[in-house]
Amino acid sequence: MAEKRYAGLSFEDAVQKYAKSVMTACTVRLHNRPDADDCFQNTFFKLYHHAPDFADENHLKAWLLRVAINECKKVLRDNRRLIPLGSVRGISDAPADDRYDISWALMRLEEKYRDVLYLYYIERYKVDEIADILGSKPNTVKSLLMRDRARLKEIYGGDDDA
Amino acid sequence: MRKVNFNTLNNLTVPPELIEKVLAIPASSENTPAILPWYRRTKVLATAASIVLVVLAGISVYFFFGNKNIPVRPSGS
Repeated sequence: MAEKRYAGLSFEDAVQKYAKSVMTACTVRLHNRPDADDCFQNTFFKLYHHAPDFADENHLKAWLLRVAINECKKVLRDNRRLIPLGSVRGISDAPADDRYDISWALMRLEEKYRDVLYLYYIERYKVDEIADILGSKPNTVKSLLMRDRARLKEIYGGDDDA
Repeated sequence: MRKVNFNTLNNLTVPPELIEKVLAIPASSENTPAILPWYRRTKVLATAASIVLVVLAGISVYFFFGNKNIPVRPSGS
């Protein structure tokens, strides 16, 4: 049987290329490594079994991120529990050594607000694309972004000397 | 003007063993049938079990309460 292609990529290439993005999306949303690992695997399981025909690699990446975020929502819905912020390897709730690195501040935002900031600042998507991935309206994304920035600033603090 | 970044999140690594697990999905999917035969699907089994239970419950209720036509002489007469 011919090997299935995903926007021209083999399954292995697609995994290698987008593993980091999917893992970051899951980690940002869940803040819990074991659950993020499960969502990561489920996302690629769905890619193998239920992938549509992708127009190009951007479409593939957006689809993977949407599935990953939906998997995270499912985990959070099924598995409501309090998780200490320090449970993710490599990300703690304390400021990083690099004073300009505000990953820790992003991780202190409420779960639903992290997605938008993650997609905007880390994946560099435009507002319309984020709206498409999250299944919401561009205006909603814009207002969420504005609110998120203000909240992030609040958490990051006002050390304007930096 | 300060320029902040998300370096920790940008530099997040994926454990190689996790990638290996994911890469094994095609091989493991070939070994297990993706579609179960109709008689082994959960919905079919659950429906069959429900029908059997309802029929049994109906028969029990009929014999305990509903069988009023048996010609039994009233004990008083």
